[in-house]
Amino acid sequence: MKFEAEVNALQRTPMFQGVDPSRLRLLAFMGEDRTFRDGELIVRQGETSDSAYLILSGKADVIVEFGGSSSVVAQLGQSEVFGEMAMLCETPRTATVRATGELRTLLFEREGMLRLLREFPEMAIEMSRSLAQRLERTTMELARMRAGSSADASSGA
Amino acid sequence: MAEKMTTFVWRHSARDQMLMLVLTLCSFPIIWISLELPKRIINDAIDGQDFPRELWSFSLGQTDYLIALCAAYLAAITANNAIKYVQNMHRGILGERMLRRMRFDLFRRVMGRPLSRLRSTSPGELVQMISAELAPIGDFIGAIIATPISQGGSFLVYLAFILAQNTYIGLAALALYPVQAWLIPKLQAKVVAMIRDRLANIRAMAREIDESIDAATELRGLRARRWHMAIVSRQLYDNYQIRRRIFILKFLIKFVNNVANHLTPFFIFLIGGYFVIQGKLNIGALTAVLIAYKDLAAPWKELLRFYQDYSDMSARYTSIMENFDEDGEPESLLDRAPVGDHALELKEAPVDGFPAPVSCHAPKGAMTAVVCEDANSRSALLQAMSGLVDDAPRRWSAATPVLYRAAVYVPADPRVFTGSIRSNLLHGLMFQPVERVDNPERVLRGREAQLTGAPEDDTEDNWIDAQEAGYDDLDAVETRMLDLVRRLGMEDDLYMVGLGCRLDMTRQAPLADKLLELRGSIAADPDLAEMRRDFIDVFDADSYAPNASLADNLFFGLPRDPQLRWADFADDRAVQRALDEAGVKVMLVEVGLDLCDTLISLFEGVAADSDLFKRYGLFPRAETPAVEAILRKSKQRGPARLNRSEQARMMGIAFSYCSARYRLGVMRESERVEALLAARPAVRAALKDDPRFAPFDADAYHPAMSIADNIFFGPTRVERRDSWQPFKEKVDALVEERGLRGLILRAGVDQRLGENGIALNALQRRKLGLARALIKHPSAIVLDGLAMSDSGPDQALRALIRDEMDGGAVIWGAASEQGAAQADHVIRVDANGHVSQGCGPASGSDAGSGGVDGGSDAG
Repeated sequence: MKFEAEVNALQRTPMFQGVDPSRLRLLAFMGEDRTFRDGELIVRQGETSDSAYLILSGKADVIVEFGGSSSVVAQLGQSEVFGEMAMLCETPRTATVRATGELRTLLFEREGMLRLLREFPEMAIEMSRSLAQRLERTTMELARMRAGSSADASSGA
Repeated sequence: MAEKMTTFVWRHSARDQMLMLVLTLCSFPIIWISLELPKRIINDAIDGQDFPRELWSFSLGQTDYLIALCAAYLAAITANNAIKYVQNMHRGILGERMLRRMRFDLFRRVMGRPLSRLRSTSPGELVQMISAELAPIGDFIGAIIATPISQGGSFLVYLAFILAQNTYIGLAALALYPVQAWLIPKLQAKVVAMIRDRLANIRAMAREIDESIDAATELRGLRARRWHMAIVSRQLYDNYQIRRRIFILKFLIKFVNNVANHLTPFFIFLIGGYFVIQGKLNIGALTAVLIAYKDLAAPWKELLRFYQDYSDMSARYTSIMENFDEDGEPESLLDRAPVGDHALELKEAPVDGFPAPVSCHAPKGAMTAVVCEDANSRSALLQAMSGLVDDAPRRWSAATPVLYRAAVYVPADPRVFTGSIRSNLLHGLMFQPVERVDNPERVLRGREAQLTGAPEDDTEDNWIDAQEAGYDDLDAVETRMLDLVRRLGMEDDLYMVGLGCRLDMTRQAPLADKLLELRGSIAADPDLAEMRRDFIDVFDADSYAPNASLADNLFFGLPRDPQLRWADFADDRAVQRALDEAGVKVMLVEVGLDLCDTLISLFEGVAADSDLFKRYGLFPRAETPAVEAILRKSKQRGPARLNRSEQARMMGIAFSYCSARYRLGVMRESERVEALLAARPAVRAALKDDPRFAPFDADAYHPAMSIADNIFFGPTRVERRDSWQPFKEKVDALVEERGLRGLILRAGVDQRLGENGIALNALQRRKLGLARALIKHPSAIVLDGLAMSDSGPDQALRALIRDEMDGGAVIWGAASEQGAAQADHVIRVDANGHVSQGCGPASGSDAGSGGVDGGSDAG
């Protein structure tokens, strides 16, 4: 089976979990290999670019710059996807991603991804399901944080 | 142009037509001789007596006499045909010249139309008239006098002969001609009317097609494609109907003519027979009349055809010329600009959309804003101020008499002409030819132009007057061109274009050498060499570059013709033989088969009309059934049993395969790579002397690769494509350091843009339009739709333009007062189209103090 490693990696990402393996194989074929050396930037915060990346091996830091200082807010590892927001919504990159050590990724272009989604709407449904779940989690987290901070505030008063 | 075709023909080709006439008249005695001689040969030479004969003081025996007459006959025939040859040639040349004259004259008139009228001209209709409709007329008028004379002449000769035999039979033979001469013109008049209908119909169709393509986006947006197709379909039906009726009538005319022609012998037999029986005519004379009558038919037929063509052509001619009736003689082109007191001034000028003639001015060296809410009126006024106004010499004036530098109008979306960036940038300097090139071809073109009433202006001449345009010499123009490109922020784009273009090795060999040196220096520098290894899949005679195509690797070279790819050579005999001898042909077919198999299974379930396959596949989707058939055949009978074209098809697909990009694993780890590398020397040796291919050579500039590919000497590694910016920057610095950047920019400037500059985005087009204007060193620049607000970027752009104008006036259109905040002088147009002007934005809306010229112009 061709693209076995890629398909396995894709299957482990929440966004593509329910998608048929034959579709994932096509997706993997449409992707392009991108390798980064330690310290190289994959995406830069604020830049407009429309591709998403799937990590095949290695690790990367997610860095957010705010008010002149930058801090690492997360670390990404194998089978994780990043850049999908910019790809789907054409928004500027919300964070910088930097390779820590040798990083192998698969790049997906917006154009190809949209064509694939148009071709296989069931794939789009699976993807939106997973994105909605993520949004729900984020919303709950936000609500929890708000509740926490208001509790802090009230306790402080 | 003359109203009637004959007047036009006579006016412009009387001399040539007379020459044709003389040639025709010359041919009559020769024809007579060639008819007379055979009779002499039989009666006099073969059957004759009284030999020897005296001929020009020569005494000739019977055989010699026969030989002499036969030689004379041969000479007569040769002379007759020679005259015909000269006549035909002359007719063709004359027709072509007349055609060129008509075409150019029409184009000249269209170009001279006022802009307002030109906007409502349909290009499709014009093209149809100037190219297709005129063409047969040119062919016809070459012999408009000679044909009736020669055919009519022959007709009369035969007629006279018949009448000479017997008047009654002669009259009988002629009996039906008056009937034909009466009936046929009646029918023909109907045909002519229909020909005019047909032309109008075809023109309407041309206009419709033109419009459908011009408005394609909106048409599709409105989902009205079907409706427009129905319109054209209907027009085609109408065309068919008209043509059908024309056919019916044309063949009816032919029928009448044929019947009449065949009825005549009936009369000849009847009347002639009666006279023979009565003993008033001998049988020999009757036979002679019959033979002569037969000969009479051919010229009559020709005359009839001439008449039909003549009425057809004059109908066409009139129908075309009617469209140009309004044009009259176009105003002669302005040579000099009228000079006034201001940078630009309008005096009582009629402007589209304004209720009254407009007077206003832009002061010298000042920043002038034209404030008008309505974009159309604003554009119209700005165009008028640029001198694009009727009766310009009286209504408009500028600061300099050099017309093309007096004012330049820059729209927001300028037209990019087909050609290179250079030809676009220099377009505004091509005012008139300043220096003739001197070569025989040029002289010939000049003479031909004179003969057809065209101007002698030649595209090969030098059209740029550097001094007049404000430059020291042509080199200074060149320098300024690149300078403007840099200042307007187009340089990086242009540099990219330059890097992507192929050098013309006959003209740019020195640059090629320098680029080759650069390649060497990159390889020699340890840092750069390290980076190059990381980012570039460098071509190496002993290894396989997975980022290049399979064919690039196998042949280790490229086809020289940029239009051709390796796949185009899969069916080439020399290439196939080379591959066969190197022992890789079968393997290549197998690679192609594996690729197709994999691709088809990958794309299983993808709709047939999907563009996914087009983007990511290796062969067009429409060929899938054919490819599947090849796959089946190979599975059943083995790849060796595929026929030549099937094998070539598979090899072509294999040729395009790039393993780093497609990752389809068809190279079977390295097994097939090894085989390809092993075959490479043999393939290279076999095609070494083939001029169609250029091999890779680390020590030579490659003529088929772009400048960038030559510098790096290998494709970028796919997997490192996102990270190679630092390397690229270092190489760019090296390019700059070695003084190559300017040369690459110049190469980019020469690169051809697509049709209408389709490759450029809106911003690039705008910059190009601006650079094209500034390079003229205009004394006033008129901006319509760009730099029109008081936003930072617009202000900066105006400042830059002012800087580049070097004391010239800048005029821009603004939609509101804010846009005029930086102006020294403001021209305001209110909602009613009343024009007022005043100095600076602070003076308010009315014409105020200071620099008001002529006050407000209320209309």
